[in-house]
Amino acid sequence: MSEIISVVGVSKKFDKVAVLKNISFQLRKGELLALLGENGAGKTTLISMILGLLKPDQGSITILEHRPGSFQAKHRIGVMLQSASLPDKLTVIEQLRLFSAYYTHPLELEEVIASAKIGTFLEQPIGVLSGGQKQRLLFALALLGNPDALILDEPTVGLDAESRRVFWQCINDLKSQGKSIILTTHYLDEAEALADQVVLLHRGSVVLNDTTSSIKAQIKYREVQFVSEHTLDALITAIGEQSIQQQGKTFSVQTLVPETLITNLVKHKVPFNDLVVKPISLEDAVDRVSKLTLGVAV
Amino acid sequence: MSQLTHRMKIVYLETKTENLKTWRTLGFVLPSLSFPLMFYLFFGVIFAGMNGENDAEKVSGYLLATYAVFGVIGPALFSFGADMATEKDKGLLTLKQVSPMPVIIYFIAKALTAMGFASIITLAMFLIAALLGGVSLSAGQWIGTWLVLIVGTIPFCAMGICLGLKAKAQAAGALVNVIYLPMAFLSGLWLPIQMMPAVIQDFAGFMPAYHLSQLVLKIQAFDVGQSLWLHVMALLCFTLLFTALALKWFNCND
Repeated sequence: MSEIISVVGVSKKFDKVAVLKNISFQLRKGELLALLGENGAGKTTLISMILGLLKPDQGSITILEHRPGSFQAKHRIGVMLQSASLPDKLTVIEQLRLFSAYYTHPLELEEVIASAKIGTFLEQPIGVLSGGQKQRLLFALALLGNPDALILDEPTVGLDAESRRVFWQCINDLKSQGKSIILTTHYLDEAEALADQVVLLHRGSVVLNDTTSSIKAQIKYREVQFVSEHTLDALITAIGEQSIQQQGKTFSVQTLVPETLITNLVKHKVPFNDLVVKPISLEDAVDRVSKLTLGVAV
Repeated sequence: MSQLTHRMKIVYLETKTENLKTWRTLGFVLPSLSFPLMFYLFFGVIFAGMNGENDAEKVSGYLLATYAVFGVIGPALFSFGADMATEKDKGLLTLKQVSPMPVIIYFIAKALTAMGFASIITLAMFLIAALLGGVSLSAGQWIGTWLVLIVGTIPFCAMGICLGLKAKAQAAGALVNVIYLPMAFLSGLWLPIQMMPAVIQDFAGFMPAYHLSQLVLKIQAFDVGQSLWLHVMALLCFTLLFTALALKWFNCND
């Protein structure tokens, strides 16, 4: 069986307000599913249900054929919760030993310490750790039970670029070990760097559920980028493109027909150099796909 | 490893960790230890020695019971009320709930820690009473007093859980004090209940701390003379009531 976590037709109301409407998706073995959506889209509610903290009004969720929140399910998934904070007065190793005892067959501590890259601050009190170190400790706790699946709820929120990069490396290492992962995030570049599958929630509904590459492939838009001495107005007059983005002397245009654009530049004798034509980013792709699906701006 | 051994190991580690956390929090340890001991030293020993000529030891014995009750219910209320509110708000409680640890062990560990703390307060107070206050009790009375005090923290642990589940972390400490201090006064823990106006004496029956103090006083035959079972049943009812509320609120909290 390749489905690790299966969400089928899940709906939930709070005080008669529907926060989740008929949500379905599958997390397949060895894949990373990025759950995207703005605040209030229903991500946290959905995660709470997968963890068995909330019950769906309709639909069902199974974790390796176990009920969410059951003893078996808890043993098979590792969880890293958004902004959970551990007691400041305990040291890292004390906290690890405690959580390790919760599992009947925990991983060796050394292995977890290496995977989460926390070996350099084991004896320090949690209160003095940096944001990135705290997040990696929470990540280590999620790994302790040697889970088949991991739920990482906004693991890199508030981290600096370097800490995020280290974290991404940890997550990629896990993927290469064949672990299946659900990752919620605000950062599309994170989804782009890590995810095999993207599920986009908007106001409690799935508006997009597809593989990362397919989303980018669906979008035929290309981004044309170049450096020019022309002013923005002069460029618009020359090539008749309205949606030009300017950053200093660098201009970028998203277009379905990059060839025509470049022909126009040449035809109007616009001087340009450092020309780049590339697929648009996942962020822009999701933006465009969800606008198509919803007919509104997300 | 059998399931029972595994659970016992979790209880042991969880309690040990809880103790480490508690004893490293001086802001909790110092006032929780020093206030009841200082109060007892001033009012139960020094003050009693100045006023009463022949029955100073009796006053010291009486106040040993009530100040010890005051001393043991504080940590129970605070470690559950204030501590748990923080751990709930900071997501640590949820992290434990989604781990395979049976969540009851979290409560057991906290209760055992509160009881350990209560033991230390009680034994320190016993020393002050015996060495400075001239209180002389039989071995049975000392042990009985200690046992009743330790087991007597249970209803206050349950009460603390209710507070911890309902209160926001920032407000919990203040809320515990708003309940703890008036309850201590109205239950006759600071001044003997017999010295209180009749209306307060009547009202005291609704206070769990009153019933615990009467049980402890009974050991030295200083209680107001109500039946032992009345106090035991009252404490049992409070425990069941708070446990039921806690279970209800804990599930809502999910």
